[in-house]
Amino acid sequence: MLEVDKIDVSYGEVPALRQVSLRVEKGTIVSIAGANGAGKSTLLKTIVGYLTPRSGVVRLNGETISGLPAYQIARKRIALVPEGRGLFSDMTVEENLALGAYSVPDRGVIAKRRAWVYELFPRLSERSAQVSGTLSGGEQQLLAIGRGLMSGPEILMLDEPSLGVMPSFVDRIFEVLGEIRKSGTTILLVEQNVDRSLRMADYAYILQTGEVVLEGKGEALLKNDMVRHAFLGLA
Amino acid sequence: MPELLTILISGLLMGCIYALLAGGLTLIWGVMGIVNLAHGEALMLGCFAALYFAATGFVPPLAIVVFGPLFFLFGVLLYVTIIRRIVNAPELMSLLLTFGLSIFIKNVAVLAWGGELRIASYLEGSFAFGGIYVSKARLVAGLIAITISLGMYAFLRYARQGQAIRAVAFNRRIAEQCGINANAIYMIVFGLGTALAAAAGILAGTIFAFTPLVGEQFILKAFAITVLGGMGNFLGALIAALLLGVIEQSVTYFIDAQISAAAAFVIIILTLLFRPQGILGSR
Amino acid sequence: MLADIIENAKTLPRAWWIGILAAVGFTLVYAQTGSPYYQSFLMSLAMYVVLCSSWNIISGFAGYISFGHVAFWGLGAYLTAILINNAAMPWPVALIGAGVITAAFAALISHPLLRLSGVYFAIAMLAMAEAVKVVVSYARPITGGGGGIYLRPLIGVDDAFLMMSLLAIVLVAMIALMMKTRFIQSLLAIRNNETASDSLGIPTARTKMFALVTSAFFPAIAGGIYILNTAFIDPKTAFDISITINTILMTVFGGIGTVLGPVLGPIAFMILSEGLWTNFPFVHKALLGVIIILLVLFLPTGIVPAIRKVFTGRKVARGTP
Repeated sequence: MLEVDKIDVSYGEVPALRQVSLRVEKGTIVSIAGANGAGKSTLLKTIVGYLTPRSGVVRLNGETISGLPAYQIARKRIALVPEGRGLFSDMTVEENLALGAYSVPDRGVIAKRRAWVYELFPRLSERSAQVSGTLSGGEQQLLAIGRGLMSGPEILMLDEPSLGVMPSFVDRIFEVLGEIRKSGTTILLVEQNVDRSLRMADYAYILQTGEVVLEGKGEALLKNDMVRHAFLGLA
Repeated sequence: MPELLTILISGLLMGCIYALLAGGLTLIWGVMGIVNLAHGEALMLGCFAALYFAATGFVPPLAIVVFGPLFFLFGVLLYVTIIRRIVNAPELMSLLLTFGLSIFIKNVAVLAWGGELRIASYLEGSFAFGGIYVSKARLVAGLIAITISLGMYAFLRYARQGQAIRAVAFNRRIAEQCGINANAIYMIVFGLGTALAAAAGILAGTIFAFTPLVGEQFILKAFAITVLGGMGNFLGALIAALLLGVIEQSVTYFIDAQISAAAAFVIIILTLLFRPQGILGSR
Repeated sequence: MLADIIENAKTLPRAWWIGILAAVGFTLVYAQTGSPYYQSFLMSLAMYVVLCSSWNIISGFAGYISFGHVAFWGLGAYLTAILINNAAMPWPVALIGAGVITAAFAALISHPLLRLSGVYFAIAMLAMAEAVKVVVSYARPITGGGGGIYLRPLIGVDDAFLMMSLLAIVLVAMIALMMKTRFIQSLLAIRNNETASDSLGIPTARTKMFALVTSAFFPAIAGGIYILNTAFIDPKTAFDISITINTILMTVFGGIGTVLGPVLGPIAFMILSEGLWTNFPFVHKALLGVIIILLVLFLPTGIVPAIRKVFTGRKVARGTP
């Protein structure tokens, strides 16, 4: 279980997050929604250790992880699929996947996971020797997710996975998230596509100017007037 | 024709040694963003290691086996004590710091060993066939150098650690997200770079006379190669090094040895003007 | 620009005017009364103030680190000698002519070189200086080749000191007066963010070119004064990379991108290295290496900002309860 406990984060003097708390229970999908600049990406960056909260802590299964270097947090099986995919675009698909499993010592486990990822994304398996920068936007997104899965994460965090992806691929991505969840992986999803992400989420948080202004079950939030008005464009 | 082949082979063999030196420079530059002006001094220390080995009665190139790991540790030590502090500093600071390191090391070497010319020669004569002459010592040195370079290339290309090094070079943050400890990678890279330069020095010391100031000439060549090959591009450096070796030999033979020393500068200027990303780079 | 300079002149603290007048006064008196040994020492000091202040324009203000500045100094020396020997010019004309030609050379190379950034510019400048050295070494009929170029002695060390010192004072005063002008403010903007400066309408290419030209002109004059006094120079001396390195070190030591850094840096550095030279004649170069490393690690912004911090720090401390 991932627990964010009343964190304050700022860029220099500019506060970005104020007293933000959230809980991500094992095996669930939790969604975070909010406008641009509401602090969604800042929250993810803090969880993975790029930013250190001024106050408050981030805990994984009761153990404090905020303040640890990013690579150590990654080794605790928290994987981030960053915004804009963040692939090693001069390396092949295969190499990207291998790097995703960098902290896994057992070659057998790595091979098994790779097989699973290729099963989830047959397209990647066809292109395993291709340099990842030459894949299409959607394929790159699948690869980024695949790389995140290679570490065998307890929690997979995705930052705007449908951004810049063709609509036909968006369906596939959400489908895949469902399959990943079935495999027992917890998912924390930041998504501009509020409608879809709330529909899929077990629980969701709405961020506004660095604060949690609303939280609740995904389906319940979809019926909330403020959400309907601000994000879904419904009166 | 035999003369041309003699020049070509001799230039290629020299290029192999340059490749070893420049490979270390380009690795450190590409991964850490540091232009290591003390790189030539690692080569100089390698020359003296070869000399020490020759004096104790061993075949000098074997010094690579013994001193290679020691120079790796030396590089690690430099990283941990000094270099670590300027990894993210402005370029001028890393240039100045490594320059300070360079003059410190070479002047301590002058104090310790004096300034006279020495050479760790052990193999005299040349192979001759069909009018082509190849110096034996140069052949051995060149072959060892290219073997190490190709080994290093294979390591970067296929080994897990090698992939991690390339990942950090590409994007430190994303690499850390994959659980790679970038600081540890920097340490390894600085150690490897130093060991490569020292290995080049051990081999160069068997065919050229040197003083503690030998690094000055070589660092400029390594620069030219790195720029021509594309910063951080190991394979590019290898090709550029062979090219520089052949160009220098040809200029020496057809024009003048002194002008051949300027080849490096001409290459730097032309590359930066017309193809700043280097021969293999894409930008 | 003139209006800016006048505006700036009004706001320049009185200590500045006193300092400038005192320096001019000292120079005029000492040129008459000083001993040749110290005049020569002070001439070197003034020469480095000129080199550092010039380097600081392109590298400190604009952020383009030059590793080839010695080329401008060496060209100035060579051109002065050539114009006197081959064109029979009177030396003051030759001196100015050398400065102008060197500035034109800088303008010529600025277009290709200033497109490069970061380490690439630094290396390109280094290569440029070495290339100039090679050309000078091989243009034997005009330059005398590797053997060097001779001149009949034209001015004594007293006059050389006078001219070098006045040149340094004029340059430093000029930069102090120009700090608020659009020229230097544009350079600072370029250092901060060139792309943004470009989109804000700053003519970056022209501004950088002007910076390099200014930055080349004064070292050339200094090189000319140098050879008028020594009456001989060879490529090894004229294009010695350690002159570039000293310039960079002194400026960083004083405070890169400040007006007084390139003045205090050479003073502190020359006193320090004089001390090292006499006290540790054999190990001074190795010690210099240690000093550089310590400088980068512990005083990367130089002494001027450090001094300023001490003063402002105190003020703040006094102000807070």
